[in-house]
Amino acid sequence: MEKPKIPLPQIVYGKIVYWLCIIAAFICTIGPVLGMAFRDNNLLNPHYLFFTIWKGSKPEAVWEEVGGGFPGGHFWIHNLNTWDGLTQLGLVIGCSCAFLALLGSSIAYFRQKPTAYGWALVALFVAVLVLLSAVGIYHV
Amino acid sequence: MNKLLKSPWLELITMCGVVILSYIALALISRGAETPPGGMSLNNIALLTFGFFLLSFAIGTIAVMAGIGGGVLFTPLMLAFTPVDSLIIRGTGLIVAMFSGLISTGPFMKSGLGNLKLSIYCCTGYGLGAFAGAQGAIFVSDRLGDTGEGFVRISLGIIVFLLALYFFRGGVKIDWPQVKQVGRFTKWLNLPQPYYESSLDRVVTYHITRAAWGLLTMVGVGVISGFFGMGAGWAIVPVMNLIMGVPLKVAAACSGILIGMGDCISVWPYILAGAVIPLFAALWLVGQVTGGIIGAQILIRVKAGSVRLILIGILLFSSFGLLTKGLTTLGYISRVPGPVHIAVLLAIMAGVALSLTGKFPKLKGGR
Repeated sequence: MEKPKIPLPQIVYGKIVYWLCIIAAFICTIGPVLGMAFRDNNLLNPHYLFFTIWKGSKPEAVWEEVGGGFPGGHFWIHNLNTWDGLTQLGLVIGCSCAFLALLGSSIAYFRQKPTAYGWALVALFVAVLVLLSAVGIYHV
Repeated sequence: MNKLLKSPWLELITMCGVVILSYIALALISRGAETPPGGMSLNNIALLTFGFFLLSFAIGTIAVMAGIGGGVLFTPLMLAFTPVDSLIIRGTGLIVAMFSGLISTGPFMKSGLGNLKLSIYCCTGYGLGAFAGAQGAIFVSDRLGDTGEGFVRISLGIIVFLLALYFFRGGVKIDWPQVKQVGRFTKWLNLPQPYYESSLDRVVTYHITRAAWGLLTMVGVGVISGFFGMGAGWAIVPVMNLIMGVPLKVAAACSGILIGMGDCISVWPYILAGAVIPLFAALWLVGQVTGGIIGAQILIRVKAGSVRLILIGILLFSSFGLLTKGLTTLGYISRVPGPVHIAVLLAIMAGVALSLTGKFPKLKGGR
């Protein structure tokens, strides 16, 4: 029984998503544990963070009470030397893996013969949606 | 032995090893650590985080075995039985739903069961809807305060109860829908993709219909998913299967891919509003990834009907918790005492146990 050939864009998408997801999971395993071991090297001190979250405080109150204010969703860029900054990097990798995977599959659609221009553009469109959402261009 | 050195076992074993070592290290560090005034002790934090990991692992395993996203279990359970703010839970719920979808994407794409073109097409609707829903959640949280919290819990309680009824009836699904007519637009999209079906030992070629209606429905499904932060595998599969005529297994695979892809759009409003707190959300993510990989392996070996019964029990109990907590928040009833929760839990567990032994009531269908 000859199995149908899986289209290259599909393989590219699957591989990029899977491995970025694994990398994100590794960072997110190590980050919180190191954050609790070296508590002073965090934006949010775990002692107060978990207490405040468990108290039912709203997100802005959590950041205000524990970290002196919310530094923005991409605070990890300037705080990679802190453990919660590193953990946020793991989350960001996971939450944007579809962007990179869609870019990859879009390139694969462009390069396949015959070229699937339409699908390459639709993949690019969804990738742009992820990007716009991640940079926060739309906001209430 | 060679098998253990190959994907997915190699990464699973490594990750489990890292998790075990990390928690042993945390347990050692927390012994004798000082607690600052007004803070939580490290011992309690270690126990709490380990509990989060175990719960997330269990949710990830059950969700994958039941063919739904992890958010469907995570969000209602956390909203019903913890004091954590609903926006933090919903943001984390989307991370949970997204990762249970993302981790299954690779294998589905490789096997050909997943269909990238169909997933991308549906994601244009689902992603936009989910993004709007997520923005709506932040809007409601900012402006309606406790009243908004109460309404969110009550409406989710009703949705979860209806879901439990839907699963109880076995769900209206068709393994191999017969597509009689394909419109010009759907034909032009050229969405179908033949795949090798191992249970039949043959290549399956299928047709897809009503692509435009499917896309419109996906917008609505996305709004619910983004607003409540729970993913929407339970709705995506029927939409693809019943409206678009996609075979059930393909629809289930594409649902996971779509949740992973679409929630990458809808999770960002939560992150940018500070509702995804790294040290809190990361613990749930790891449980989803490890639980999801194991769940996918167990799924091959267990009777799926039993999983469905357990799932119905969890959903009913969550629904009870959500409704009572919502009504308490709005001031309609006083706080429900712990023994009442335990009595309801025991009654539901008894019902599930009787159903598992085939004594009450006989369920139709099954996966």
